[in-house]
Amino acid sequence: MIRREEPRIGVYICHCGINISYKVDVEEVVDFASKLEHVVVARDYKFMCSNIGQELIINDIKEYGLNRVVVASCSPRMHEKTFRNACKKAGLNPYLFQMASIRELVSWVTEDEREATEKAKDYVEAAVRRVAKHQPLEPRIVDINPNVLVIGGGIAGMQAALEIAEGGKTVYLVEREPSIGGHMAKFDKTFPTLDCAACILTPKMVSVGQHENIKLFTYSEVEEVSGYIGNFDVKIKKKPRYVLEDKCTGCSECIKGCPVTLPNEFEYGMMDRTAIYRSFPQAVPNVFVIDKEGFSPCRNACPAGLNAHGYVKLVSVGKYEEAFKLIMERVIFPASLGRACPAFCEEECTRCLAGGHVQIRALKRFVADWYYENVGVKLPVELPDVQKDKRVAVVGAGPAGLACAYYLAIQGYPVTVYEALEKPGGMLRYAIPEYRLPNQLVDKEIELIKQAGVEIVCNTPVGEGGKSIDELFGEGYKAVFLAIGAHRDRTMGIPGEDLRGIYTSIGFLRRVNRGEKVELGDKVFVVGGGNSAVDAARVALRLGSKEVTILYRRSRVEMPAFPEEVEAAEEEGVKLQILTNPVAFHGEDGKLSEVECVRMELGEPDESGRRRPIPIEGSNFKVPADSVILAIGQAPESSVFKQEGLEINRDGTLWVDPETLATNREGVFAGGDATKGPSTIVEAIGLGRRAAEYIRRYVEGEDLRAKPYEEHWLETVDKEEVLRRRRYTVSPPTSLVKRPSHERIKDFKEVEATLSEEAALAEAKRCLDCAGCCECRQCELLCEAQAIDHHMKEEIVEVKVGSIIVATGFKTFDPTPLIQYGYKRYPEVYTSIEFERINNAAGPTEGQIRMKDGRVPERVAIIHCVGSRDENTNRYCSRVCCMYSMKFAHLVREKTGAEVFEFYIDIRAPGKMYEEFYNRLQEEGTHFIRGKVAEVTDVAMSPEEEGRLIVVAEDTLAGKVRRIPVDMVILSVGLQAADGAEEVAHLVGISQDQDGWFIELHPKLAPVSTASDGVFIAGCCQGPKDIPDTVSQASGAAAEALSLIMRGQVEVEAATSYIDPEVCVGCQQCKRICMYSAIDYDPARGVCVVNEAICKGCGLCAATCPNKAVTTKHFNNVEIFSELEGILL
Amino acid sequence: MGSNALNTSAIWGLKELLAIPGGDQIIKCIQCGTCTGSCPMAPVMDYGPRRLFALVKGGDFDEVFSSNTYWICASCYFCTVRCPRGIKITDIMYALKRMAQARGPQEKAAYMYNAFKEAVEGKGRLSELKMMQKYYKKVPMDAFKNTSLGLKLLAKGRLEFKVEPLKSLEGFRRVIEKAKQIEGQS
Amino acid sequence: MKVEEERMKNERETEGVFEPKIVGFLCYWCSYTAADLAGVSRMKYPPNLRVMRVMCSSRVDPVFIIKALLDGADGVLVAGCHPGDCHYQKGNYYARRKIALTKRLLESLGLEPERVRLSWIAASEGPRFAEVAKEFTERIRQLGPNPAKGALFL
Repeated sequence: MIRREEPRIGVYICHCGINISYKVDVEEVVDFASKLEHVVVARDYKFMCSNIGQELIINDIKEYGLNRVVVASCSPRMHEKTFRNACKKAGLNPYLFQMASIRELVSWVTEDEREATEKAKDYVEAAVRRVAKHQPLEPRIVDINPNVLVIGGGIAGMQAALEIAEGGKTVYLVEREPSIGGHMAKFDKTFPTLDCAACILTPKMVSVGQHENIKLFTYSEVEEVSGYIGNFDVKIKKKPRYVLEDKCTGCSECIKGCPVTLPNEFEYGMMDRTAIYRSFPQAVPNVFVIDKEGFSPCRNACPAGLNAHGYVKLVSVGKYEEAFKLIMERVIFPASLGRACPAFCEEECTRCLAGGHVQIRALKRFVADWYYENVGVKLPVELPDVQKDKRVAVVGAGPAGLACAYYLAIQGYPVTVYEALEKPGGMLRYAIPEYRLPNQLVDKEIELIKQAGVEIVCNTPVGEGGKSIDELFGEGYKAVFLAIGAHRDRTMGIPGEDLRGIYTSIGFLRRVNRGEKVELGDKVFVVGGGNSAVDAARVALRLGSKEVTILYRRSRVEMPAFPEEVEAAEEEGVKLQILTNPVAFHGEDGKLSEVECVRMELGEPDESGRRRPIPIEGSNFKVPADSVILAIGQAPESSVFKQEGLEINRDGTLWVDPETLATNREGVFAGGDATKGPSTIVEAIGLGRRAAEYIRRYVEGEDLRAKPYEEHWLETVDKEEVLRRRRYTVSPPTSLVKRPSHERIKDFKEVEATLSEEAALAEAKRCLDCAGCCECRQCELLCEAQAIDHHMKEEIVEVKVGSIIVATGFKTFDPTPLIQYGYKRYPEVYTSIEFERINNAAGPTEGQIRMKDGRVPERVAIIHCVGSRDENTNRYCSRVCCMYSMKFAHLVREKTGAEVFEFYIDIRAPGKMYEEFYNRLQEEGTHFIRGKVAEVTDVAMSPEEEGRLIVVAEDTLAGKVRRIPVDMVILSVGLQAADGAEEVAHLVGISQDQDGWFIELHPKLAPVSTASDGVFIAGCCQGPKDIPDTVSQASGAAAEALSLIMRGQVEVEAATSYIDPEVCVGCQQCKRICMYSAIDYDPARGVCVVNEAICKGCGLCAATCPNKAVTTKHFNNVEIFSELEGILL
Repeated sequence: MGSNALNTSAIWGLKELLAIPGGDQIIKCIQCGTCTGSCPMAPVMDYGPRRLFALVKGGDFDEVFSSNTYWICASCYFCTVRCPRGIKITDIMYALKRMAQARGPQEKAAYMYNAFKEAVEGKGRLSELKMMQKYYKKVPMDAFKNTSLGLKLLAKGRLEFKVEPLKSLEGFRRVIEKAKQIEGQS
Repeated sequence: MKVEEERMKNERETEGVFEPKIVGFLCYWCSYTAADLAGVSRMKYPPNLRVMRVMCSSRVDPVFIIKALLDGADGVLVAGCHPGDCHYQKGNYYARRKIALTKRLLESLGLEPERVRLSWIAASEGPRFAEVAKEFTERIRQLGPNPAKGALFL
């Protein structure tokens, strides 16, 4: 209810000492104000904000019955609250008050007094006109949730957390590193007391870790903050440690097994660490963490999902048996794959960008050969004691079928494999030639499968002409897996195809692999461009044919055969005739004598994306030939299943559901070349293993699609990122030893040799550890507490807090761009934070000050102001560098007795005992040279400068340019806002200044609060400072938070929005644009309603409403118009 | 050598210096010494750039305009690039050079500069003999010092007696006139 | 009081120098703080700018701008936080769109769209606020008095 009473306005003009009155004619303004409409009393006073000033207002309200008050003084940011309170004390609603700023906006910024006075009068009139339209508002009271969120676990965050926790309130402390401690944990000694940093820090860390009121979230980040003061909803993202915090005892046995080496960020790259690590020995929580950034590109490139990274790393540390076991978890036939796999992994290897891929396939071959040699044909897993009673039948003993069988068998399922041919192995035995994959090896690998309990029955086809699927179910099998491969050769359908001497590749290779004699004659032509064509050609050579030519209808680049195979064939003497295709075969007495071919040219691409071959009219020619082998493609013999009710695709492959590999017939699954068409061994094995899982789900009655196939899968890491962060030298892959071509065509012995152990170790060490952790799981084996869980997932925890303290700290300036100092160019130039680690007993040199070659330095230079006090980098002074530089001088002297030279511009020693520390350093004999260093160079200009670093600076006090030769240079770099500060600022709603530090509410009087109520800042995130000041600010912020909590309730700005239901038409424009979702639509009444608890009062809805149904209280249109009129009219 | 009094407001009278873009930044100099430390010519300067600026700011113009600093400046810009206050040191050196020239040369290097200028103005090409002649007139001591060097050069045929004028001497003269105009000289 | 003001205005104008009257809508969180900072730092700028406080630049309804111009303002400045820094998340983006449309509207009314300006001024940019005040005042001075003065009273 709005009472339209007659406004009675009191106007008060403040002198603000002389700050206003020196420019503004205050009396004139008072006089002016007194003549304005509705103004009952107008006064001036020197200090309106003082008690007396406020009393003036209070008395006038009572005496003159004022119902509106205007004060023209400083900025409302200073004293709006003060005057509103004065009104409240006098019984007047605080919103019936308006402030005009005539100091910050007038007296302080205007030169001319006349103009200043006129401006002040305008503002006063505006305020008077506006306040007449103000309505009383009741401020919202909100409860303060007593919990506090502290972001950042350095000394500031820990101190604040402890203070609040001791006060009995709950603190959620979120730290993004695996341990709390911040930068202070990296130091050796602190200035000026030379206290050991760890000694004073670790008790605090332990308190934080053990305090019952502090809920510690390490290796976590704040993901989202919503709400308002007293009622913040916070989402905390817990990054997966892969180590269970409540089980890990910190024993560090796991490190011994980890084969991965990564640069240690805590040591600034001066040391390496393993993938499983702990930042430093006194970490809190004292729990390890696994650095797993995703999956390596090799792993995700493998169609069977084999963890290539894992087994390569195991080889690099000599754990070959473990490598074999790891391989067998995902694929079978490792020795075969090690010889015949196209190695999709190698194409994606990050090393391709750094010298050439790691020889992943050759390493697999090495592991398999070693295992069979040294361990024997022994199952790498233990079979379960009890077999299951659900039997599965597999049709086809090729890689797909045997993979499915193996993976079911090792889980205890009895599996029988039916094979139509006389021996198992499929393409491995009958198609891939001996010189690539010896059948003896195939036998060995199949032996391993049999040891898992798989029964293989040969000479038993299934389908037309053999057992039917119905029969199989009849025999008690619960499921059937069809893996018949693609063994049916295509034919060309040209004249003369039935002449003697014309073979098809699969048929031909099968006969050779059986040991049959095939008379090819000397002139052999192989038609086709795939692997079987090349295999056939190279076999023909070895059988004695003198001239073997491959005819291919497209060009070389379109040949689907592996390039290495084509190269090897050519080395051996196979000729390649591209853009040629046979059109007819001519013979005598039913025997082939000539091949008639036509030349081709390439036209537009066809459905496969390759350019269509078009015969050139009239280019026919005939060549004499003894034999022709057609290798133009294969397809599955799916016609045998025509009667079984299975859906067959147009190209002859069996249809299956791409995820579950189930056919359209209940209980029947299929995979391998039978469903994909001719592809690769590894793909077949991958599908076989996949089918095993889905068949298992099926026979156990589980929902096939309840879970995805891969329960643990991560994104591939970014290769550029990897190259940026790893240290490596560009190196070529180890070459694989191949027999010379003229020799190898004489027999069918293997062409390629296995790597020697030495070569394998060296090659495996080339791996860059792209993803960090390789999931070899050796750590799991060593962990007695069973605290490792590689499948851990990220977790989001939601908490409610009433206030937030931001203590995100700093990072040091990176002096790499300042090339004159030689950082990263000369090995003995260090940054201060690197030098801290050198001094720290847990660091790279165990606390000794040593150069990289182990020598003790005799002369050390410390350069102040690197990156600070500089227009070109950071303008500000970082406050702590002079003091820590002097600390270093002391430590160097104490530990090595070296001469120390400090190059400074000014010595800043403003704290307690700081100047005395400077005196002490002078007494210790430190050479202080006043002059900013111009450059550090290794170009010697005299004998004593040889082999040393020379620091060049003008000694300004002596007026001479000095060249000082030293052994070691320390750059005292400045401090900068921490990485990610911008994101944190956006999250909690605070701002950064031009240097990236968070902005405090008032630089003098409110250094730990911010413009956002309920959000406080502490420590270096507000600006560079030393430890005592940081701790003070942390306690201060804690006090502010506790004060808020003690109040229990707080008034929130009442200026929210309101929708007049009479005017609102329910267009919902306001609802669409509200950024806080504070507006709801009420379908019953057809209007929108504002949720006052959430509304922040920004006013966007009011400006958006086409009907002007929305008013923002205290900033409604009438008020603003009145103010405008006051200014302009 | 000059008075000890500090004439701090004198710098505001150096209009030519303050007229350079960023020239007034000289008042921000913190005397850190990076410029002198970086300057390759500092060893042969009377005062390094830092000390010179201290003298400029203190109003000791006698010392400033009788020094050889800005004459020897090689315009390598090391100082300007590294100055933490962003002072355009090299540009200021040029301004001081012009101001010294306007006051009349007092320094050996200044005479060399003038000799060069006059020797080039004539034919548009440098006549070394002419230049040295003009120079030695002002600094006769050096004539004696360099006699043996001059004879050696003569013996090896490295002294030119005749110089071909530029084909477009007119154009060259116009360039010089324009430059003088821009610099505010007649 | 109105008569006196008229007299002073005439006085100024008879001196020959046109003194524009500019209204500025400043968002409380960023630009108003910058204006305060300019004041605290004693930066001087021409007195022609009259500041009005709103909580967010998104509060500025195009009606305010029209009202200001028709009431005699020669120029209107709307200042808000830099994109991405709005205290209310995205208010300044909405402000940008509204001002863009308003400027087009002004064109069709026969007013120069440059009379309305949108500036992003962060809380720490005191000197920038003074710069903008100076620049905008000069610009409006060049454009001359608002032709719509007194043409319609809202």
